[in-house]
Amino acid sequence: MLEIKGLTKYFGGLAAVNDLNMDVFKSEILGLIGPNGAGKTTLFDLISGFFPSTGGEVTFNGEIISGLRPHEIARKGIGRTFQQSVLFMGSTVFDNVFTGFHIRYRTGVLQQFFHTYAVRNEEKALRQNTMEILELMGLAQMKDELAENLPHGHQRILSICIALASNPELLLLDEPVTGMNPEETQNAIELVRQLREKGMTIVIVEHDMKAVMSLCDRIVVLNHGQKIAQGPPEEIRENKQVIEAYLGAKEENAFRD
Amino acid sequence: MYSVLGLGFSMLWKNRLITCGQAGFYAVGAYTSALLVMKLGLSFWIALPVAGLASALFALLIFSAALKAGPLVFFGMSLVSGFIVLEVLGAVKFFGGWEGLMDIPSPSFGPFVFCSKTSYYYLALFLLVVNIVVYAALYKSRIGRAWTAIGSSVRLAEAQGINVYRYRLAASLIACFFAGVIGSFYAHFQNMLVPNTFSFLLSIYVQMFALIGGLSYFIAGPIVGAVVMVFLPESLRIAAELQPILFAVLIILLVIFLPGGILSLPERFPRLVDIFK
Repeated sequence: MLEIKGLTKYFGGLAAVNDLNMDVFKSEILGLIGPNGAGKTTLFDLISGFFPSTGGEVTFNGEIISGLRPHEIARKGIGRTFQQSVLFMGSTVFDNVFTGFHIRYRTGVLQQFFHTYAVRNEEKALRQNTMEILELMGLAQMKDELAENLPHGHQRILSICIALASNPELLLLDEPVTGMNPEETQNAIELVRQLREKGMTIVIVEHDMKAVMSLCDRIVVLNHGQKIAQGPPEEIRENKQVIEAYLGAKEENAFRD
Repeated sequence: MYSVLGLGFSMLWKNRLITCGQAGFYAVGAYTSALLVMKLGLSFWIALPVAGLASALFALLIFSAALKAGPLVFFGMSLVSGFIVLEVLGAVKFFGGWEGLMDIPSPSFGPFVFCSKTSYYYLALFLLVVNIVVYAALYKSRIGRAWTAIGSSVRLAEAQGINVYRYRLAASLIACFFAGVIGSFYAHFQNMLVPNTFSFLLSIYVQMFALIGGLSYFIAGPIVGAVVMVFLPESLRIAAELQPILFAVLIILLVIFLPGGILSLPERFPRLVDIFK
């Protein structure tokens, strides 16, 4: 579904992502792990068009998407969240999701301007859709709260809700459970699973190993911008190279938790 | 009249763009309209929208490149454009030079000629209402929601598929269109134009209207601000030279004690509302 070939990104003389090749298959949950500074978030920014790449290409559903602007890539069906909770601050939970629908409107600018019957119907459907997303993700009771007043865990979930509003085929989640307590994490894992069951393909960057190991079908390990291993969680857990990269070959138990 | 300019600033602020050049676009509209009527003998009612379009076209010229480079360059270009307009109007004989244009005809509607203050007042009010209706419709639609999204987080807006560049450009064109239209009205109301009316100070005043009324009230804010700013000095009867100083002090006090503007009063002091109830 998503193919990355020879993707390279230099920041000055430093290669954040270096000649990376990897694929994402339809309806899988792919984990992307690696030590800090391995280039995981940079990779997300490259896929979603926030940084131009230095070399290589990204293909999505057979179409080259590298070089497109972020909003064009969003229109192709790639949604993403950000590492920090980037939300529409100052708006309610409901409006955060409702604002996210931008690319789903089918009515034209003139119709919008005159607020025609078609627009009202469309907005009604989208409002309903907003509630469906909030209910699915368990935020329905908080729909009138301001985004900035939510506890951290709920903010992370809300950022996923916003991404869902554009109905993406491929969802890139940047550290979705970071900073959550174990209970919240478990809940978030269940929610991501549900999304996959609906046919969505998901790529996750996450430091919480327990969460990654239990959630992902496949894991790709990055270090210094290069892929050092890929495979199912059980394999990655035993991979010498991975353990070395992560822990300087010391605490092998960290993966077992 | 000033409310319309303030509304334009407010719309751009919704996109987190700060304009320092509303006076320039106001001038473009005023001069376009005056010259069309005087040199080509066109009717005021045709010159009015054409003045808006000319101003929007000028905005397209200036901002289509500036917005590619980001909000800071937009800010700079709006500032520069104001000065360029002023210098060109003053230097070129065709525009009347620094002495300005005289004897601009008053608009007429059938046999009725706008000459009394009241008739101008209603015309201005009509233009303001049109402006408000258009902006309210835009803010209510997905276009307005996209602007709010951009103002809230550019990155998230992009990730949701909003073409930030195009929406910001649209906002600046619309704001400048209305600045041009109201400029046209001003030209025929005053019957004369002098370049110095459109100085940088006016652009700053426009920002103050929005600030005094309340920056988060995108429609009511600039209107309330403009009303206060126009009537306050008149009622205080102070010298025109002292006005900028008065306004400066006012703004400083406002930013310190009431950053949300006049319209945030009831929200900030709920007890005040109770007293009036």
